[in-house]
Amino acid sequence: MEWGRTEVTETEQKTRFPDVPEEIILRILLELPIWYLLRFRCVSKCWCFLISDPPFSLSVQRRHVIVASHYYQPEFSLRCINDDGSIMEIPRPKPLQFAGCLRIGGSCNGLVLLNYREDLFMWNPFTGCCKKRKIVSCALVNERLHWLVTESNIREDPFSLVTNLIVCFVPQTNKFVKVPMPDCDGTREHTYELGFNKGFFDRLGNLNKVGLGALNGYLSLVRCRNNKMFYDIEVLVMKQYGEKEYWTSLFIIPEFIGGCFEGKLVPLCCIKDMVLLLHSGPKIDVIVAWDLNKNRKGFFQSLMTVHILTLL
Amino acid sequence: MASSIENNNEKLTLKSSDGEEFLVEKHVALQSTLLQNMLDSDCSSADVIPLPKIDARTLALVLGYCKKHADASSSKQGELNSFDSEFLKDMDMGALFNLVLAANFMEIKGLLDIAAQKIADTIKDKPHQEVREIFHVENDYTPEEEAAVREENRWAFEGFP
Repeated sequence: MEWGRTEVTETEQKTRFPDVPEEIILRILLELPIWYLLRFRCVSKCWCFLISDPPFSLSVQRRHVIVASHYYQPEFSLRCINDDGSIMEIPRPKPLQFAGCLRIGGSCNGLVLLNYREDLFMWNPFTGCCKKRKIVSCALVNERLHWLVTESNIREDPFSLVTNLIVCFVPQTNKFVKVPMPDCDGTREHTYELGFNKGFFDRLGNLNKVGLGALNGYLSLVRCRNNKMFYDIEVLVMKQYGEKEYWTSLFIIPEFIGGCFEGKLVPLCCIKDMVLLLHSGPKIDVIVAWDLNKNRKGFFQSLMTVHILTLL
Repeated sequence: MASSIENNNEKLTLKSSDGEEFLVEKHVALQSTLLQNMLDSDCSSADVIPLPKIDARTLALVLGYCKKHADASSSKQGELNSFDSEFLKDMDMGALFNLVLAANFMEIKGLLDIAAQKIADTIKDKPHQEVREIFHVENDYTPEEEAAVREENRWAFEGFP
């Protein structure tokens, strides 16, 4: 049969499909956001295992912002701001399905630390896996943990802290060291407050608040310039770690909030062409998105009040 | 312009799984960490290096990629990016998977990244049944089991069959 023969030849010429080992499948799946992948648990038992496996969730290096609605809000929800700026609601962790208000305690390597009453839970928002844990972890830059400190804590801290200082802990040497601050235009009106997600500093009254965080792996600082009735917000990154002259101004948000600027402003992450900042304080809890191309700011309105954010 | 390359025109021979030999300039071969390590560890460059897992068609593609990236100066990143996307365009899934495997074996990170990303982009919006076919994966679920897994992840299925 001539037709049959032709078909055989064609099949032979077509690329032979190779045996794809698990490590390669994983390598490919790692390029996808996990919520796409959850569907692929239905592909086969092996895939389901791969996608549910803890090392898989640990190795995911993407940035997403997880938002828990305010502690006191009756309609509690957990949402996620995706890389493209879209927002989606994510289901609650199973063991805490009916729990009232959850707090986000911090995050590391794609896992979120949840706090419910006296208990801590390690939760992967995308695989839904949730386990009760005792260990607390925190975000790092350059494998070091950083704090912004002010003189208000000088007596309570064993390390000689002065105003406007970034201190970091070096785990390798078990020591605290200073990280140089950017120049403050020769003025003393900028007082910096602790950044990151853990606010163990008390509010410092009417000071101009700023925050410390990490953007794309760089140490990042938000500072606040008093501009008559308004505040200009400047976001800086340290392009080369540890070098004072490498503090670079990324952008300035002019006339941020007139007069009543309270709380802290922490750089969170970059998504698409935006930089997200968390603006939190006694009366405000909101995510500010600064559009780098259009030089304008927006807010994630639909989020109700934000409790705290987590980078994944 | 090419003088630095000519000064260093050592070549080595790579042999594909189906026996075809490729003569490669050393600076091109250095794109592969595997070959780099072999050259560093005193493997004579006169020897033929067999690559038993990579067929001639795939190896030709890999070497095309390596040559482009070895010859382009770092300032031409934009040009390289458009080369990369053009390079993978219209490639069938079998060829892509072979490329990923080869890049993984030869430790060519850039190629592994773009090829894995290309496959990921292709399957991203496809229903899982289709992904099963693309990866040639056998469905070992019973219909009940599959329904149960699906139910567990119901929220991820919005808009999908």
